[in-house]
Amino acid sequence: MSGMSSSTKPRDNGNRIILGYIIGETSHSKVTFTATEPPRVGEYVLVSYAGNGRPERLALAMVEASFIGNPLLSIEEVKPEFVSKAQAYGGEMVEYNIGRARILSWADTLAESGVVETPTYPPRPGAPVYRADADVLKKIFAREGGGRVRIGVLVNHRDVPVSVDVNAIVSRHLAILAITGAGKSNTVGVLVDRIVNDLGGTIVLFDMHNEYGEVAGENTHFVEAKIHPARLTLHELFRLLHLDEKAHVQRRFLRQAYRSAENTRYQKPEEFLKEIMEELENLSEKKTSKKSTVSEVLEKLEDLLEEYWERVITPNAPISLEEAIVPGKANIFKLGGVSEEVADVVVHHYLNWLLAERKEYVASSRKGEGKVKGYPVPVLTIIEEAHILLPGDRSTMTKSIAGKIAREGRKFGVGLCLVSQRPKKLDEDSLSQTNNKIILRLVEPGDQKYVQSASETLSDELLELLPSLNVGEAILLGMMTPVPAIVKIDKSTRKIGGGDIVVHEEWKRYVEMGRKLSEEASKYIMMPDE
Amino acid sequence: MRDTSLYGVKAYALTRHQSTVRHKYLGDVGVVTMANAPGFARAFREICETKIALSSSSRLVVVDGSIISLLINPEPLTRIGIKRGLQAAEDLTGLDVTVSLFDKLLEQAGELEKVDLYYGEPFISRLILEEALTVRGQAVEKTGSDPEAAYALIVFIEKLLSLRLLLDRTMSEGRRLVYISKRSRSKEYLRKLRAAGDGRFFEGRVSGPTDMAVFSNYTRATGFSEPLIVEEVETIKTLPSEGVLRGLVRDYFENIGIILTYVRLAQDGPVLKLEIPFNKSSRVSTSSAREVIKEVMDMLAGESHNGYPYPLIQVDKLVKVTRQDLTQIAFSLGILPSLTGREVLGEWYVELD
Repeated sequence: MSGMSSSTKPRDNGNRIILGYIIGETSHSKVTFTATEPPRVGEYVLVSYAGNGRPERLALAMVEASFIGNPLLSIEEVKPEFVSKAQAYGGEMVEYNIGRARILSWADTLAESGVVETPTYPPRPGAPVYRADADVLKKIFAREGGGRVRIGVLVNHRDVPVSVDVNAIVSRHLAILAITGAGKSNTVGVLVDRIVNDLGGTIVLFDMHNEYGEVAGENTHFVEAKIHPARLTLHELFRLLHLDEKAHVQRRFLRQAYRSAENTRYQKPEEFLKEIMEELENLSEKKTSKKSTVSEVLEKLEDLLEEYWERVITPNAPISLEEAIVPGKANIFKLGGVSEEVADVVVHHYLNWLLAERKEYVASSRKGEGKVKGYPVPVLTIIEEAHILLPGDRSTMTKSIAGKIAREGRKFGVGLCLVSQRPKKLDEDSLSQTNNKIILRLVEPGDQKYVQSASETLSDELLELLPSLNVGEAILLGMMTPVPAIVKIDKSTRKIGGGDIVVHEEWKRYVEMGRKLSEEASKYIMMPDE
Repeated sequence: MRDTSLYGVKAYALTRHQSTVRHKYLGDVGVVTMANAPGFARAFREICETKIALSSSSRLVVVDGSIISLLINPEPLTRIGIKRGLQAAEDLTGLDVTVSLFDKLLEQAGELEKVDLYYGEPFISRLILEEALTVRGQAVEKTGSDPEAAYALIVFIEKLLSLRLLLDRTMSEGRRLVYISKRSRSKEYLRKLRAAGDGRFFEGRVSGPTDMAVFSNYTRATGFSEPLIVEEVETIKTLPSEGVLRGLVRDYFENIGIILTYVRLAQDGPVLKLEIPFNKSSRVSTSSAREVIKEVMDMLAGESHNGYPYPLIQVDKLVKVTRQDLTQIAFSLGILPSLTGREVLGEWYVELD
């Protein structure tokens, strides 16, 4: 028998294209099928449920594995000559295609109301498997309104746009994971741009390498990573002064000074730190036996001010949160120039402040008081290079506040988005709190396993797919998408850094520059007479 | 299974002309209730193989197996005997049906040539028997005739006549027909050679090693053994020397000789038994047989892999009917699950064995 040509693909009377038929034992979640052509991994198919007098019902399934076999060319045939002989004798005639698919949901509930309802019984062996066409897929993935933004198109169906539910992202958090150069920054850029410009959303993006430009166009607001001294919490001071838990005596003195100075905090906010220093000096006079300890603290505080006064800790920093994080804008904190400790403190500072104000807002609006207090709109906070600020192996301030947001943020409208290229180094608690995941190319097996352990819906088969994703292709998981999807993320139209430097061009440019300079110079050199 | 036997036979022809490859299949699945079920199944397979070879028009037609054993072995008549078969067939249908059998075979050969997959009834003998039993059902009961023996004879005749067609066609068109077997247990060659006074190696021993074993163990190089010309086959001589079967079968096959030789196509490769049938009227001598063998070996060498003709490897891999196939067939025919008498033990169906 000759193979089916594409023009004569078998169709059923509903004019659906039959891809193949189910073989072997089936289950409610997985089927194996033979196919007329190799199924593409990540492709959606419709599995037919019929029989027992019931009308046909279709379930949406995703192809997770695809095989081509040839009984003539089994693995024992190790000689190339044998293979070439088999080819000369038309051995490809007996090739067969096998696909394995995971059943995701009844197609009708998904298309009509976006509700995932998984079948509780298996389809029958021999049942047809149809190719899911663009019309069906559009109903599922391109739902409009209801707080959705477009993120890209299906990899295997470039004509089907995919949108994600931003409500689900803010309330259930998000992780964007990929190796460098796989398109992380672009993904963040696209999301930020569309959330801000299409939905009027508010975003806070902590940019560790100053790589983001105007990701949301004119709605981008760059925030300097500055903290008003009067808003520094005691724990933030501990961290900035490197006073860890072992330094409990030093901590105690600082706490005493902090408490005493607190009274004057709001009368003369810019003098707050000076006030603490004065209190410390008073203490050193009183506690003569511990004089050296107190002066150590004092010294550290002086070092701190010398290094960061005006640059990070400054009375010019915003004293109201809306001044720093402007509602309806993409607020980008440039943290490229500061040390990890300072970044940690800055991120903690603003996240803590934001959560507190959102709590206040929700509480006051609930009471129905005339004047509502606190921060007025929900915010999605994005932490770039999250493995630096939320490492798995040590405690940081950001980690504790991020954990708090992950747990409580849902109630107060503060969403958390972690972006990282080293998921393995990322704090497991924080990662597993992110229900939604956008996973681009991930090569390191340790990273893959780690991500899998932190997400319920990432199957072994999808995991195997991660190293073979192309740049800009991602697996979407979680409540933001009705079913897992493999998506080609749109290319952001805004200027986003983070791209690779074209090394040889940079070198060439330098050499060219040198050559030009010497050419210029040579004009002024006297040539010897002939 | 109790009382019945399930068989599946499959024949596959692979034809290559330059870069054009053609695949043809002929097969059958069924149930036989006869005592000699294996004999019937084997005959069915041999008929399918012969017919599928007949549908090829290659310059060289290679068939897996041995034509000598095809002729010696009177399956499915082994336990019945040719005499009883002839008698039963005479009673049931009359031997004249063999003439129309031959005509129908010719017709079928034409159809087989046209298609790659043949969906018609592969065995004419079965059609003939069905016809006889439905028309004369009553009479069979009365005369106490022996339908199994009659059927066996007609199947046997169908096998011989198919072979006759294959020989006729290849010889008349000047094409080569070669039977190749790789696991022959025959001792014919060395015994005959000894009778001719050439070999004394195994004289006086009741059971010597097989020809294949001797050549495999005592030679290594490429080449072929002294051709042996087989002039007559016992079984053919037991066929009637008068009546319709004489002209159709006996006389024809008595005029067929076979060149028998053992060859090796590649150094240290496997030994193959080659049988090349010829028409005795073409007066093949030992020396002209050598030329024929050389010619065949040259043609085979180009198509071989590790000293074995590649098409035969492919055919072998693709025609296997496995136990799993048979079990599936049995389920789809509704034969399984069947009453086994062992349901009380919780054994609801038996696997085929």
